[in-house]
Amino acid sequence: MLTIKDINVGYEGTTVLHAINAQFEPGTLTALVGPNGTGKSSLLKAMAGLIPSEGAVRLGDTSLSPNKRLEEIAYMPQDTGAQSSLTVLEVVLLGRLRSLGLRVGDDIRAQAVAALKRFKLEDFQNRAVGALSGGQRQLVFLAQSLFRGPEVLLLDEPTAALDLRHQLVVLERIVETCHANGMIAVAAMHDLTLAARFADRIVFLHDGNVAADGSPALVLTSAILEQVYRVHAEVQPGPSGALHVSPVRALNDTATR
Amino acid sequence: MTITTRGAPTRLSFATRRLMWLGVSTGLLGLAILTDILIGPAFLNVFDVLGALVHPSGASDAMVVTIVHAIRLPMTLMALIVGASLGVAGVQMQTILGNPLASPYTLGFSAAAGFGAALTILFGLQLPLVPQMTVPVAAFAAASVACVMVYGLAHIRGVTAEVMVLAGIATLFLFQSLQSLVQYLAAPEVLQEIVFWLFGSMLKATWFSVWVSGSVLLFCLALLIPDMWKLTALRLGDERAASLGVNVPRLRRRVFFIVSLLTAGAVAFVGTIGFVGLVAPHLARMLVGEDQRILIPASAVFGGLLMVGASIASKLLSPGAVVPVGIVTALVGVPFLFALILTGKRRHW
Repeated sequence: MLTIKDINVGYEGTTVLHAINAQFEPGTLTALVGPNGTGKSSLLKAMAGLIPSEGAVRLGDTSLSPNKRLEEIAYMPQDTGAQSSLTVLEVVLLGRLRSLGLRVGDDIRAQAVAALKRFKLEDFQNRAVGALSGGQRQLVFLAQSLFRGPEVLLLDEPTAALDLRHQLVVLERIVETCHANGMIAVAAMHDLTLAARFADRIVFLHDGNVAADGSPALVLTSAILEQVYRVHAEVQPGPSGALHVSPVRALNDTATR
Repeated sequence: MTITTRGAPTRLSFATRRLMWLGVSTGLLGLAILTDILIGPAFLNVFDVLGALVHPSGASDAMVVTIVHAIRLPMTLMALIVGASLGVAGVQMQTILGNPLASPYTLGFSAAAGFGAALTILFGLQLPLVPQMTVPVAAFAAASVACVMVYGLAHIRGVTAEVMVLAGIATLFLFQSLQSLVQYLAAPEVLQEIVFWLFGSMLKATWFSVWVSGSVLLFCLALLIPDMWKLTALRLGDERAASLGVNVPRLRRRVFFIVSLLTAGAVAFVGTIGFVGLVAPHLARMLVGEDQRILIPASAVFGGLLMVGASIASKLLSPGAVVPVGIVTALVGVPFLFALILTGKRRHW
């Protein structure tokens, strides 16, 4: 169980997150949703120990200091189109940075290749990561994160700018790993239909506060969408049984962020 | 997901190709070293030089042995060490600052060393007991001051790549201005001495300088070994490296001081050498990739190759004399850089 208690984050005198509390169960994917600038990325970075924050993060019975969070919690940032000429295999190997020495053993190399095979990327292992498409690159970084074998994986918009197929592949692999390894995954997302389809739970953030928190069936309602996003949207079960969100129109008093 | 695998190289071929490039460049470096020792303004017979090199006690001409062992060998080895030091310093500067234009020269360390040397020459200062060490010590000290200035500014404002680059450029301009001021104030004969130092020349090399600069290089390489994978991770950007468990500010700080030490150790004895620290890392990265385990030795080899190549060119340009190598490094390096710009892919920068 991952517990966050009274997480506060501020930038240059402005408070971005106000005393956020939540618990995340092993083997589940939680979608963190909300309008742009509402603090989703900041919350993930604070949980990962990447930015200064107040409050506590506990994994099981252990309280994690920011430095300890960097060790224990894997974080996958948004894809920023890294133009590196590092090879795909080198990028995946970096997932276990602490285990790497001057010589990389055959066993760890074989495990890295196996991590790539999960995404059918083994034939790309010697390509420069900067030469891949955005979708392939995102899969490589997900393979890197999973290769680390984390108890907790935080993902910042893992499906942003991906085509439909890559969106599904990314989320399917995350959910598979959650179920198989008991991994706790928390992903900031914008696509509410995808969140409803794959996440066990959705947390709505609004102006740095938790506006709603629960299963998709419980919190994905037109009323909450209107309150959080200031839009009129219809929420109905789709063909797969998961909820489908259809935005209808923005309400007139919507503040542009 | 449909994946095209056409033309995907195997692991073996990729690893082999990288090692092959390192092997070829090391072989070329060996050839360049031999060539540099064989030629010189004394126009010695090639076989006499080889004899003096391989079997000095059996050589017939003592003068040849003296020239080879007291002049040519230290000059060539110093070119190798300075080139390797600047190559490694350059690749680490570009890595920690994420900037393809970063080099020990562009961030003001060399200019500071030049100012320290020029100031000492202007005032005719001499250290007690070891007067011959006055200029190198002053150059080393001034380069260290530049390092502290850049780091001090970065420490106040945050140890980010952008702040360090800006602070470095400001330091470069400051010490270039101070250099100019010293030159303006100097008498003509002193000015000549200052300008000769600033050109950068292997004629200043001695066995003592070879040992000192060589030891600094080996010491710095040993310091870099534990951080090789962290530096590789840094090429993915600060945030990704941090998310992999790298303490980015601490790594940047540590490597920055190593770079300062390498640069000061390289230029303190021989004078200002530009360009090598900028170009060698790019050439190495293009050929062997970004894995620092092989990129660091490759940068050292390419730095050495450029520097020894410049030393050869400096002897050939004006037969019977040795043009200061600092003048020639850009002449040798610019064609490489143009080729890189015209043929290289953006992601290698």
